[in-house]
Amino acid sequence: MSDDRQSHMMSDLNGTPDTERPPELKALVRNNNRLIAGAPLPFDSTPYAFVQWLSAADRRS
Amino acid sequence: MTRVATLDLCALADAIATGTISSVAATQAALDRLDGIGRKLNAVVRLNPAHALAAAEAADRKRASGAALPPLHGVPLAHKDLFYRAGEVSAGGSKIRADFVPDVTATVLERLDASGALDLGRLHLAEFALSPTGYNAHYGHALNPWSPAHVPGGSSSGSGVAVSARLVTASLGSDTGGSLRHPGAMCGLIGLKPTWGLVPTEGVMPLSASLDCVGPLTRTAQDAALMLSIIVGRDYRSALTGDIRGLTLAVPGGYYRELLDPLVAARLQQAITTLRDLGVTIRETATPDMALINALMQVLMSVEAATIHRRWLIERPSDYADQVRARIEPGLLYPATRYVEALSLRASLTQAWLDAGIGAADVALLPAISVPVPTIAETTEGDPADIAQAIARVTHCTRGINYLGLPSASIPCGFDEAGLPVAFQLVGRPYAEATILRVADAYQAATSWHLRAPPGAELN
Repeated sequence: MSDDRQSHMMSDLNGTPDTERPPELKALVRNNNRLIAGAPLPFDSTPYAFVQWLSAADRRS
Repeated sequence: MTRVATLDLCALADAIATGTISSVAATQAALDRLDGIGRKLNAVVRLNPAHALAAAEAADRKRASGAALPPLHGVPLAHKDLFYRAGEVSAGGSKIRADFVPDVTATVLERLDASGALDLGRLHLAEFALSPTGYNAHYGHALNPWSPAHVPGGSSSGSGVAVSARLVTASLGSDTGGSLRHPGAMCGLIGLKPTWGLVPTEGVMPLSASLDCVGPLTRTAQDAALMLSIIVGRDYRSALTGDIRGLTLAVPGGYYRELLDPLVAARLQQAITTLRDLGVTIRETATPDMALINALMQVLMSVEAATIHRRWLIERPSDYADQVRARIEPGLLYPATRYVEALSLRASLTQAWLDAGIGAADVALLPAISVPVPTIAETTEGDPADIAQAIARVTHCTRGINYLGLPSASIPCGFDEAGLPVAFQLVGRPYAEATILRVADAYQAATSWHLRAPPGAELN
């Protein structure tokens, strides 16, 4: 799916005003999406891994 | 009045506890300075003098009775206007929430109340706590007491200005991408961002729950340790032994040197030399890919902020400054998968940053801000691309640390050619606030940068 198509869908879903967004904003989103998609994800990671990791660090400190 | 204003937090608390200065005298002096100098510097949102003076009178009566006193008994403070007190307006620097009255009190305020501190009122901030320079299109910039043409740093701008100008001795702020360290660095203060999750954020206007941290702005590391001890409920003061021999300081290169101004680099080198003279071993280190870390921080911040702001973005888009709306709106456009990935990668990337950036050392030293303090004009006027670049330079060394959740603090280490403060930043492992404060305290004992008062304090 193209970023433009995705942005359009998001805009519809969110009911945001159909304002013209500056190109640097679109470029930021596109670049961040690309960077993260290419990052090596740990196989067993969860959104809660950081909290567990911090908790272990607190026990050690 | 001037003599009271010269005291730092620890000295004022001692003076009130011993009866050298009454709480009423200290409170009246703070109210007068906030109402006069504070309003001139656009640092004050609202004051509650009647309530504050009644509380000060009660504090003096309690001291006279011989009762045991808590650590901040009768000490007047004021805080960023995003800490809720039930029944009182909390606008968050915004037009949209100008009349918002919460029905809860922030946990950190309850802890300060229990410590005996008095709450005089609320201080200015960037709109919705979303500007590293302190920009607020609705209510104007707070003015840097070192030079009114320069930004004070944000988003905790009023807190930085009020402590630097000796209006109050300490102030609570919040830090999502550098909002304690920016005003700390630009106003010549310790701005302490604790480990994410260490200090409760209940009753604090949220920006991004995964990144928001609450902490103090103070003149000294001793004062920061006292404030942190109260809002966390652990003792940080006993760690400040004054002796840092045997510690190892990491100095990461690469990314953290990329934008470094030569004058700022020279001040940092002088600070490193001072720390070496105090018996610290210096070790140069590297850093992982900060482009990825900054991108992930941006995803978390904007998605979480856009979630909070979604209805207002739809219904009241014109009630945001363009600069603020432009930082929130991208959060509407990231897929949920990117957001979950940003959370999932956090532990492994933080461990990688610690391994590369600190290694076997105790703490890392980075620039707080890579460039001299910019002027208000440089960050508000002209080509939007130039403005965006000037703002991005301010957060170059701070925003990634919020994604990593690590404790960090700004420590003043000199001045630039325009007379504005320069600062370094110490970053530690999770929950290493005591080590950071210990190093900062020893550095301040060996230097006098933190003792200089800005012209805006009007002490002479």
